Amino acid sequence: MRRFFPLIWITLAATVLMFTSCGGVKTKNQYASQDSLALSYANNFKVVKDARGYDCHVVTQKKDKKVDDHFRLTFRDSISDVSMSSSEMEIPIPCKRIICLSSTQLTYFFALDYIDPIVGTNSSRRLFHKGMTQRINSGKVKRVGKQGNFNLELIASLQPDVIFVSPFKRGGYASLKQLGIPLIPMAAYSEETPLGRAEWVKFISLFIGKEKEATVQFDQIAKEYNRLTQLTKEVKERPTVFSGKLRSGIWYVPGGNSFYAHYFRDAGAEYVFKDQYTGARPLDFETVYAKCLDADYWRLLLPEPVGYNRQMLIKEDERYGDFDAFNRDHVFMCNIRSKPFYEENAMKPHIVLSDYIHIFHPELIPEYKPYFYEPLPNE
Amino acid sequence: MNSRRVSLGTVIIIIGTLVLMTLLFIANLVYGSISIPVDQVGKALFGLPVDKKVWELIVIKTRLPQTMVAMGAGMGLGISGLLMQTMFRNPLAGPSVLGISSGASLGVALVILVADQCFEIVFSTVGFWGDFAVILASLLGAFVVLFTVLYVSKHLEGTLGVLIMGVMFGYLTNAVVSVLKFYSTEESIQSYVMWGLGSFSRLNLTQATRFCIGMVVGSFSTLFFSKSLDLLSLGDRYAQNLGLNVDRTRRAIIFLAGVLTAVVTAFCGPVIFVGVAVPHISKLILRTSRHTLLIAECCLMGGLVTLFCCLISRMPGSESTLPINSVTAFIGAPIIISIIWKKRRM
Repeated sequence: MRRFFPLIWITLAATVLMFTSCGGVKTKNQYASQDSLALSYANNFKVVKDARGYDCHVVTQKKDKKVDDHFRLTFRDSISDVSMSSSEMEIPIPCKRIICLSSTQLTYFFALDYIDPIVGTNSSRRLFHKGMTQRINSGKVKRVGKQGNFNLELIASLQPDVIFVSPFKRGGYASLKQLGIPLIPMAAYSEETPLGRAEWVKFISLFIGKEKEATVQFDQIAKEYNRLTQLTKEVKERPTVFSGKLRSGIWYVPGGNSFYAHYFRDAGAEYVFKDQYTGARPLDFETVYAKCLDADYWRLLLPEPVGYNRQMLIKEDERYGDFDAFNRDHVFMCNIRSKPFYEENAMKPHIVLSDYIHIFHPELIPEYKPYFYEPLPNE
Repeated sequence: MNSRRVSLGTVIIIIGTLVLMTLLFIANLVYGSISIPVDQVGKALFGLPVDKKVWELIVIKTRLPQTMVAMGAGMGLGISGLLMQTMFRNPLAGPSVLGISSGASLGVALVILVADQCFEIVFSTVGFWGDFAVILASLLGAFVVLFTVLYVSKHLEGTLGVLIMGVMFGYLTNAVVSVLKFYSTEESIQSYVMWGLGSFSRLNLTQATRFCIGMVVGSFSTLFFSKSLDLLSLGDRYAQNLGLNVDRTRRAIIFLAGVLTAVVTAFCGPVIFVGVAVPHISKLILRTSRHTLLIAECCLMGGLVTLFCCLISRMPGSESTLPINSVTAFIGAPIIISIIWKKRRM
């Protein structure tokens, strides 16, 4: 028996090491005040313009350190014959051939109504955009594989000027780099505010010569978004809201300082979790149970079969029936199988916000018809 | 052999294990992310009025089912591991050695990943039918492998062929699953990965009660095989000379161990290490080869180990949770390392 005790202690000590929770930490604007390209909300890129083009910096958080990617965009008509230095990539713009490795990057091209330069994407699954679907089906746009399993030969044969990559995903980038194609990290998803994420349209616009259109469009979005937040500023009743549901016994909860929490606050609601986390973290069901049982609203954003309803939700876990929000018919959802959420939401923050306001405070925008979110149907 | 008297020390160890397991059972009900006073936990369990409604819901609908499933799964896996180790006379054999867990995994992969391809269904979100399909596929996959192994064992001499078959099934399964993963969406892959991490919290109170009773009864029913197992551990020839029908016994044992593994895998996912580690801990403590005692100790020790892992995985006092397999690996791996280290000196 005594021989067995060391094993228990080893196990306990090892397990104690695991008692750390993960989650993002709020970042400060790295580029305050010196932007030549006026940025009001986005924190993770900076652009300095000169006569020949743009100097771009994209900041991404990798583990505990910030990585600053620097590259140079040069107008095609002013490209010099001087060879590029190893520390600086010179990319001719406007780009004629672009590969996007995430449908969330396509959002900005769709918003600018200019998809002609796109020659490759990772997947066409659940793509709603008719023009892009047609181009994929006709072979004008190729599917180049996903993280870790890229079809390198196909990518090389497409001869793209740039490849937009997600810095938050792992795998396969080293082999892409070998091809000598500039990889542009799209860090829009690390922005903590909806308008910060939308402002990345200005970044994309530089590559395709649509800077003016992007600025005009973003200004309209920001104006409408800010008008809506003014509406909710004075509301006295702030309903409480929580988000998500169990996946294999774990509930991934967006942090109190996350992108989603910002939306809830701007929509005049109070998010149940008031921590400083910017990312989502896995929580034990009983924690969620205790904190959300009496919450007023429950938001779901999931891929569900078409026709998903209350009965299907309660069949997943009978404990859902204990939530007040469920019993009061205050569950609302966006079904990404029937709504183009991922390919549109980044550039429609005012629409997402309107949807939320319509749910939390319908009296503020009585005429509004929700676009992404809808009440969970009874049948 | 069975006429030997059981020493007082052995009885004390078995009773001690039972007491410890019971204490851990209670600890699992008392401790969790949310702090609930012990008297309130007691009131909730006995149906008395509780100060806060949410406490009652947490104890009855979350902690109690999870605790019962953990105990039942531990018993089933511990016994399954003991049967495998005795039959193959291999200290590192476990419930997954026959490829039964792999079969279950393949069944689940086919449901989660292929359904996504063909019918655009993400099973993590289909709820009851999704769970039902996953459980059914897991059972079917496990039983297909189990009956294949039984068939093979009928036509193969000894246990080595069966052992290699199981390992090969594992490789084949991984190959098929990796192809399926390659063509699946991120959501489906995540669902499959999550299933593979194991969980004791997938069943509601009614299902958990049935599961727990089934596993306790199933595990202790192996006591009927204790004499046959004693004979088998002496070697096939000895056992045959002493009048044991070795082939039939072996098939019955494979079937029993397979059913226990299949059911646990279907409802909890492939829980690792418990089946390998528990028989060792039991043998280490009891220092006996008598299977009547080993089976009793393995049942209780299996329950004890998984209840301990379950408690650790829920990280009492913290809001977070850990996947059960990460904790069972921390328990199981040191034990297996110590066995290999010990063998070095033999």
